Amino acid sequence: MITAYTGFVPSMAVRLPDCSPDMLQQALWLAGRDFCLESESYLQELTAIDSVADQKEYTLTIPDDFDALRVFEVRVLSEYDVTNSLKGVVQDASKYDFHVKTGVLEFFVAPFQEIITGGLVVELVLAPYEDENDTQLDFEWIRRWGTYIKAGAFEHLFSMPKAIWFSEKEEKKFRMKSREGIALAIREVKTSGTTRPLRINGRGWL
Amino acid sequence: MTGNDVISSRARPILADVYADGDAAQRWSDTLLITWLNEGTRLIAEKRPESLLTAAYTMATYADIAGIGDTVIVPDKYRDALTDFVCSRALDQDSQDERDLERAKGYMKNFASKAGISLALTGGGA
Repeated sequence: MITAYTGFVPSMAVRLPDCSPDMLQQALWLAGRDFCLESESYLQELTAIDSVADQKEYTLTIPDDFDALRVFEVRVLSEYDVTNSLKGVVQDASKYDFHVKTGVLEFFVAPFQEIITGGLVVELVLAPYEDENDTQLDFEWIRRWGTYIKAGAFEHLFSMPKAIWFSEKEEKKFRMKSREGIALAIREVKTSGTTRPLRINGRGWL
Repeated sequence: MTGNDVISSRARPILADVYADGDAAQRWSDTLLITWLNEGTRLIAEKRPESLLTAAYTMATYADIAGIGDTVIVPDKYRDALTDFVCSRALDQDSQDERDLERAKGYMKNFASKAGISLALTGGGA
């Protein structure tokens, strides 16, 4: 079972024997980050946060070695929700801002009037750093999209004009495959992995 | 891969520069062959910069070897290419002999092919 990008290297080396394993891995890291940036499909639910009465700002703990791109979902849970493992109420995106640089989630109106342990649940869209120690990645997700991430890595490698393996034709082929994966991942996030049709929700003004 | 792996174990036998009793030869001194080995290594490092990657996103700083037992900075997969480079330079030194000149060109062509470098970038052969 593949648990790190190095697991993809042997199958790639067959196609690019002149390329060193370190370079293949480097290309995979870069492609993995690009895939996350463009598809916004790497989601991670943070550990539930204890609410504070009348507090508008919550500083989120961003996982190490990741950039937080945006908030995917914010849920507010009552004590009853927490006790009964219910999802709580999804907050409309018009009710808060997320300050990417500081990791602060700012509500315009304080969402809690009391302390609720684990009352605030936040799911983030993440992208791993380019030089991420990839053992921290969710490899269930990587395996899901591995074919397309590999295609992105090949696209990157074949586009290197000074490399002996440079090939516009191969680059184009893998770019199309990579784009296809990104489109699929976007659709999967938008439809929550169901066959429901895509629906675009405009952000509210209030 | 050390300088010995290229020079003593491979290049000298090809150049017939080893005495039968195993004593070091010789027609070409270690110092001279090390100079050519460094020249070939530097060429690989310049034209194939990924050869200096020691891990993803970690690149070694190029350094010549000073002694024949020192470790060459590029990976082992370039060993045969470097052997060809050293042989080419050595035979080129004997290029008054037409046959040696042809052999020198052939080894340089092999070097370019094995190292994945355009022959033109090597100087086009001896």
